[in-house]
Amino acid sequence: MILNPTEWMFFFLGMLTAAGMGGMAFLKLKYAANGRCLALAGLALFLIIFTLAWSVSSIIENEHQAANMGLLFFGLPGILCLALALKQLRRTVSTDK
Amino acid sequence: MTQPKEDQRPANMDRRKFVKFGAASMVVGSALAAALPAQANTGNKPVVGPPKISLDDFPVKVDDAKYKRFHQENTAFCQALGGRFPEGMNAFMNLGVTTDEVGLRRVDKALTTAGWHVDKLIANGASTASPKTIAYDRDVPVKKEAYAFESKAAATAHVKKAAKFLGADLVGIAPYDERWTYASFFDPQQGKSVPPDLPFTPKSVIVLAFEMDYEAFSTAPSGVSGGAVGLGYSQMAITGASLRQFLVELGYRTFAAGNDVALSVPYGVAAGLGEGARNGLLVTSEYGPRVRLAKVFTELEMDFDKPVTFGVRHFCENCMRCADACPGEAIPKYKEPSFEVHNECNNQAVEKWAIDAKKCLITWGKTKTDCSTCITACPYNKPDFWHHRLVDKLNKVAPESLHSLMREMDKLFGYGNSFDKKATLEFWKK
Repeated sequence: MILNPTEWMFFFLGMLTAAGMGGMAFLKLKYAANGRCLALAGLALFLIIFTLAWSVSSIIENEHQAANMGLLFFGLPGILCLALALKQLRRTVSTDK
Repeated sequence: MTQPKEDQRPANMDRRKFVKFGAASMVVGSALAAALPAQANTGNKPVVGPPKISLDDFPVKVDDAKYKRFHQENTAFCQALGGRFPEGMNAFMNLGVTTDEVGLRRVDKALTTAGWHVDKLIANGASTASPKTIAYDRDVPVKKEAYAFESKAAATAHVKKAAKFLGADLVGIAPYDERWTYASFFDPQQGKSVPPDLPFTPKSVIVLAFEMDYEAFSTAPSGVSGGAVGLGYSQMAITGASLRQFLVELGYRTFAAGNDVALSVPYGVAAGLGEGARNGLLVTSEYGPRVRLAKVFTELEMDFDKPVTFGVRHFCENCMRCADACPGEAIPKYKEPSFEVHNECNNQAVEKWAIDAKKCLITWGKTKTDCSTCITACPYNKPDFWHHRLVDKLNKVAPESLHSLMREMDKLFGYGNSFDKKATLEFWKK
């Protein structure tokens, strides 16, 4: 069966979601990430995946401005959440040491 | 191999904790996956629209004491064709004009002509459609023995399936309501009104909606968007005539109609296809106002669909993007729908936002196209992608105060731009 662009997008986003969940498990197992760190990482994962889904969908439907605005409106908070999660993780690890 | 000391070992999980964490991850992952509606296996076909609420009654107020059936000759189009509205006729003459401007070039306008071609062959221009055409002939011979469906529900299911198979994107069934039938018909060939004679009194009206191309509409007003409009009319004629043939083969008297015989928007509302909007059009949950409507009148009894609401009226009260975009200022800007009308082109005693159809038609002449900016600008005009359905759902539950914000976000994200020459150039590149 040949997949259309939307189907490909959801296929890759599914893989990315699985990888993201794996990454969170890794943070928990390897670095004993606390609840706040995992919550931030989870939110970041959701926002980043949502951003990719929004922007790729907008490009598929030929709405480039919507794709760019999607990156700004949803992607930026996603990256901020990721940065905060990493900061929290660093703090946890340094406290443990 | 030395074993790390207990206090230096990274935090570890035993098997039990690992299984618990894995299960929790699965739950969160599933929730995340569920939040992204499944479009994957359906291509671009409608999956799910915004949440709809079925209504028991016709949702538009009609002042029965004052209501009088509308005469087709009072539409701006028929007035122009009948010589009562010369400015309208001049506007029609301008539709064929080509210039060097992008959107009005010969190549753009050729698409308009091509889109309308089949309609011209079998329906003679469905705006004022005539029974003396292949598509809208009202006296088609009927097979003698009527096919007996098991039940009304079975008849409904078969007719809806046939309509979709024959090319309709949306199908709804409404009871015949004489209020919406024109008080007199306009015969475009004779250029005058004729009595509203129907070959029989219909029992059911099958209302068909046809999606018009989103990308073509992003070029509005242009010859390209005119092509999408023309193609919609051609499809109306093809599917209307084909569905009529299906029913007469089964032994039921049936005739199809484009914009003739009766008002289309009230039938669209009654058949549960959508809601009336500020721009005077039917807004569907699947395609917004980017649809054309046809009706098939039949004596076959079927189950009727109920009118629906998905928040269009409340959204229209605050949005006004169509009114702002209209180059002819033909769309009203008062907040709530009312019984106010502009002129004889409006159906009176019905609560709605009445557009000034004469101004609208004059604007067609000025833009040298059939305009359509009100369709392009409407925030409900979106292709059927999951993220638009998500926003539709949010619109439904968002308080009224947020609707203006949603409208601004829609603009900010670049949707609904009209007079966009780049869009026409892009259209031809892909």
